[in-house]
Amino acid sequence: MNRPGNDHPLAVLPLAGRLDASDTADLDRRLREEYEAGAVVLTVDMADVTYVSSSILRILLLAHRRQEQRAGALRLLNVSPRILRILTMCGFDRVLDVTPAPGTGRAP
Amino acid sequence: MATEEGLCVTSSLTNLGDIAEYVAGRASAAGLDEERTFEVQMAVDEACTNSIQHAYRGHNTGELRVCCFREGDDFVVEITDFGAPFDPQSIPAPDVTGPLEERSIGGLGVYLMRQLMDSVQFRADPQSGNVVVMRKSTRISAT
Repeated sequence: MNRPGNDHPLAVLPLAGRLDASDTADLDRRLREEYEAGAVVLTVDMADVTYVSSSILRILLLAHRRQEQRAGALRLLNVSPRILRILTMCGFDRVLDVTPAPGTGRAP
Repeated sequence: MATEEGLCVTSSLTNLGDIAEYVAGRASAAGLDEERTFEVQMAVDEACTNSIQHAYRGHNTGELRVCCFREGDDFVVEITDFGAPFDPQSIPAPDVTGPLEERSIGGLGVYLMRQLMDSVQFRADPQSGNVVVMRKSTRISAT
């Protein structure tokens, strides 16, 4: 296991668009790159994400587990109400640190 | 290719975006509001992902058919593949309430399909392929 580098304890990864099963390999690679660069707390900015399928949620969950191995975490920032609802439906809101997008209520 | 009968594409994950667009157009035209259209779109995305990854085992040369129609008050989506017989009901439902470490992350797609749609039925037949039929009532959003 890589040791976290002191120069890169926090990292922000912005994602955008519609993310389905065809995007899992690319997302997995980008999350691993942040981990290997030493990120401890890895924040995924979801502000411009319009959709995530369960295969994407699975990759995010695996990344969270990986970050936890070095006493870190995966955080989801600016989550839209629609995606928050899916996360809640799957029980992921109790596992991941989720921050809803500002100025949006739970209702669509 | 979109026809009167529906959309017919190869079993490539890169076609999921086109499928979503097609289904959203049909659901919206059938009178479903934006939120319910999103729910149908997601359920179809999960079903097609299962077909590609499980029935076709990731091979992108198979055939995937997506058919949308109104039946009474229901908006119906029928998804057919001709891959290996696959029974999604054989996948254990995920424990969405348990602690993360104890939770199976497989079977989430089928779980979501059931949560998002009013009814989900599976049929596997060597002749007619694997068929998923999902229904969503148009009544709630009908004005």
